[in-house]
Amino acid sequence: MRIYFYTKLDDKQTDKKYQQVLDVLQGVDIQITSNVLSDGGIDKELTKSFFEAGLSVLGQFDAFVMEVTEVDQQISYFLAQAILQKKPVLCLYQKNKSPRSLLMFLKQKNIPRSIKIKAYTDSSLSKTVMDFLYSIEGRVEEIEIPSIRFTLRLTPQLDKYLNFVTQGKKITKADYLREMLKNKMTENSKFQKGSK
Amino acid sequence: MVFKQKKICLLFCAEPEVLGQKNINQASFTRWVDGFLELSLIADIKAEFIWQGNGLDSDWKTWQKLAQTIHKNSSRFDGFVVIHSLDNILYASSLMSYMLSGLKKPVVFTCTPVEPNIKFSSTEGEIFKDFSELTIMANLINAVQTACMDLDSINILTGSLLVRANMATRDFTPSLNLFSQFDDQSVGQVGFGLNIKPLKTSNQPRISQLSRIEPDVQIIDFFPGTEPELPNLENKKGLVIRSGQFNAWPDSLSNQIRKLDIPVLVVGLMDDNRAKEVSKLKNTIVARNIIFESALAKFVWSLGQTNDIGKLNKLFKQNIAGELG
Repeated sequence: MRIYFYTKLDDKQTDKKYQQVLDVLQGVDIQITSNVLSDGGIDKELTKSFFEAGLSVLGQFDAFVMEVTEVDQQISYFLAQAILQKKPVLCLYQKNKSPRSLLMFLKQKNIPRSIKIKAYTDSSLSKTVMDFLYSIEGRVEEIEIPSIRFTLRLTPQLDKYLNFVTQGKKITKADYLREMLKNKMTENSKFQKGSK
Repeated sequence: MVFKQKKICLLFCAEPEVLGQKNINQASFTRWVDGFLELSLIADIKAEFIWQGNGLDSDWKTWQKLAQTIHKNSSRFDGFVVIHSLDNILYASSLMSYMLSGLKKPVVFTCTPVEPNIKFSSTEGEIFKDFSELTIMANLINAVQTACMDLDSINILTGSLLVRANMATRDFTPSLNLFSQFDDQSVGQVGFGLNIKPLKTSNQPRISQLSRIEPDVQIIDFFPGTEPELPNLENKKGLVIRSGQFNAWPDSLSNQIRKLDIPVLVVGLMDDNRAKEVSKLKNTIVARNIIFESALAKFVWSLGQTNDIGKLNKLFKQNIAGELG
């Protein structure tokens, strides 16, 4: 899933907060493009193909997340594009700092239901974002940090094979095995049913 | 909205089918704009109906009305967006660049690539309708956003590309970017938002009065290997000869020009020697390095200011609205 995250950057109050939103998004197995990332997280090839076709580059995203405590011209533009392209949007604002005009606007009858605006606190932010992501794809995988230590003994032949498959790739033997296990886990429907 | 919305005037000068309708007037255009939810997010929009009809039928008179409306409302709005028919958007927007040079406000033209008169099967028609609406609506969102920016030139926005109106040429590659600039540059690109390159500010003084135009000119095409015969130009105020990318120039044409008492504009990509030779003809200006639509619009505008060939020559050498790059 590809998400575009935008926040107005020239306001220090918002600056402090956007990192929290970004942390939640980066803790999930999705691709993020944003004006707050140093390289933008932009897929240059894909963006170029959209541009050459004359299509809005925003069309490459599955959804938008925006921090709207401070509304600016750009936020309005992204919202307009999202409504036109029927993309789901989550607008987040800090509790007790509601952008009243935007709230009023988004409460109109003809605003698509896929446009959500939610207040957040430090404690509610993660759940609000995750609920939104689940609502789009049904299942979003949180990135888990491998924290359980496991010692594995291998035969010389298996070790030789592991060296062979990881050689020249920027991947460790441990990562290779973790990825292989992850794929097996995803494919195992019996396990998937049981884990829900 | 919390931020102060810019005031944008949206003008209609196109086929009604562009908005998926059979007939457009001031009331229906206002209703259509008021119902366009997305636009009201970006700016405070006022709808202004100028003209409707088949694109080919819009003419200098229509564009004068367009210029007058923009000029009259220039202090009320931060920017202007014009929905124009695709067919002659280059002439209209080029003319605006001369008539409104010194406006100091952005004017953004946009259009749809979909021909409203094409006959489709019912299934295709449904797809076509959606495509048409999506295109003009997507273009309008980008055009209005552009008109909210700090620009002071007349530009065309289609697809992802913003180009200078008087340097634009039609691009026939399969893309929604319908125009490109003949110098391969662009004013801006629609990326994650709009990336607009810094523009040279027009050096024209702020306009207090709208300049006149003289559209009563005769246009002829000249092809190599032919002996062109000029038509009766008795009531014409000017003659425009469009030659191609070649140096051929028959003596018979020179002889006919010598007999004329009206200014003659020759537009073509001839070499320096030939250009010098042709420009020595009585009442003749040679325009190279400028697209035909822009040259014609500049001629019509210049004739509105003067019919003195020396002054006309001077105006054609001047970069009035960035048309010479």
